[in-house]
Amino acid sequence: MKRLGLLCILLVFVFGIAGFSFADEKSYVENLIKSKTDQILAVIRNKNLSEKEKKQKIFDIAKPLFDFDTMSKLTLGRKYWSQLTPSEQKRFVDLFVKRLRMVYLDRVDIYGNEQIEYKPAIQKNKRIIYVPSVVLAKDQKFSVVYKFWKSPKGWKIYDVEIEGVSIVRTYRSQFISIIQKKGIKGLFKKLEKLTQG
Amino acid sequence: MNKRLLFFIFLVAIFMNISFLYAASEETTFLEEEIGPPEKVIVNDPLEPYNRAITAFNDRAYFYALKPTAKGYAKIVPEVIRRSIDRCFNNIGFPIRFVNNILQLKFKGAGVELARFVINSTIGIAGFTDPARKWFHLEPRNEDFGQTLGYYHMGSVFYIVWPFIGPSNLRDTIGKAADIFTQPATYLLDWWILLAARAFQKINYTSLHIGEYESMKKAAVDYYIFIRDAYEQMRIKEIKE
Repeated sequence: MKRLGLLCILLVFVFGIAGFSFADEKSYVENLIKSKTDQILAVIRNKNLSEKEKKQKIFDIAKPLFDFDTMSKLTLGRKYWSQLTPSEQKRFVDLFVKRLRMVYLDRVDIYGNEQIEYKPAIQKNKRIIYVPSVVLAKDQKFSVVYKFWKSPKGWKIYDVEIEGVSIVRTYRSQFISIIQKKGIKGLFKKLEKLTQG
Repeated sequence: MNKRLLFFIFLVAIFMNISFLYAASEETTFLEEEIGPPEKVIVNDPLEPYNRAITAFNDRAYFYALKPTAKGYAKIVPEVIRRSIDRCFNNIGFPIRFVNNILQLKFKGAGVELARFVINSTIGIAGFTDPARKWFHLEPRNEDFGQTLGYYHMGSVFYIVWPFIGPSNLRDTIGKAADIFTQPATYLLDWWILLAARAFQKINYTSLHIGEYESMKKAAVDYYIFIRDAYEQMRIKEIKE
């Protein structure tokens, strides 16, 4: 009987910790994105760096936040991803990251005067946390949601939503449409062409 | 007693191991489900060949007519004034927002819009400035009739691209038409004045947003699909709000 009581206490303790870490994870993810965006804004506003240096620094800061493997996998969808050989999968991830880098680091010069307001993180389920934010630019404001998942390597971003438009989703629509018309080879060709120079 | 206790501990241990494994698995199916079904399922596009042609036409119209005009205009008129004009046009759109807030039973939103209209039309000098936002922290509550139809569960039916106007769908086309009739100006002014005002508004707006369409197009792999999907996702979000 005594031992059973002890076990009960132990169980409560274990679940207590679990509950505690639940709340803790939300604030961990919130702080993570805040500190990283602060670092990135500092780089953008630093006038002593050339544009090339800025881009490299921003990428180095942002890289560990993202789960590029999962993003790539999601943009192709299970169906097409599983049709690729491991080396093709790796090639695809490389092309996709290169493309994202080209597109989203293209005009660092126009950012920097915006203010970012973070809203409390939302726990979607055990392994998904959303961090909503509002970017205030001159006369307009737009919402940006960072979607984190608990990957084997910790909390990582698997998608970003800007004004309700998901990056992964728009890429997936385009990739699937190209695959249906020109096959997976056609998609590789197109991505290779787009990531050149 | 002891045996039962041991068994119980054993169960707890198994349970914890399972949840640990689950927490660390590389399985991402649940993420795929979270993002939603592929776009083909949600966007019905039977007019794709026509829509692609019109999208290409609008693209050319932007680069050869709208953009050069807006750029020339921006050289003559300072940015501060262009922003004021843009705010003024937005202020005129008040009846649409007010009516559709009410139709969606968003009475607080309608109240905010009414307050914004009164404040900005008077202290804000015909809407050229936005003191409602600056001093009273009243943010605009954008609602249109397309969103109202969506609020009452009407789907987009099918995607359609209009010349000069751009991406839309059947629901939002009906919405746009209804919005025109909600505007008192429609009954007060000649059609050619309305058309000219609309064109001017578009040029003024474009002058403040040069480069946005370009970078969006650059980000796309197939920009027709990109615009179509982004448009539908954006509208779904606007309807939800």
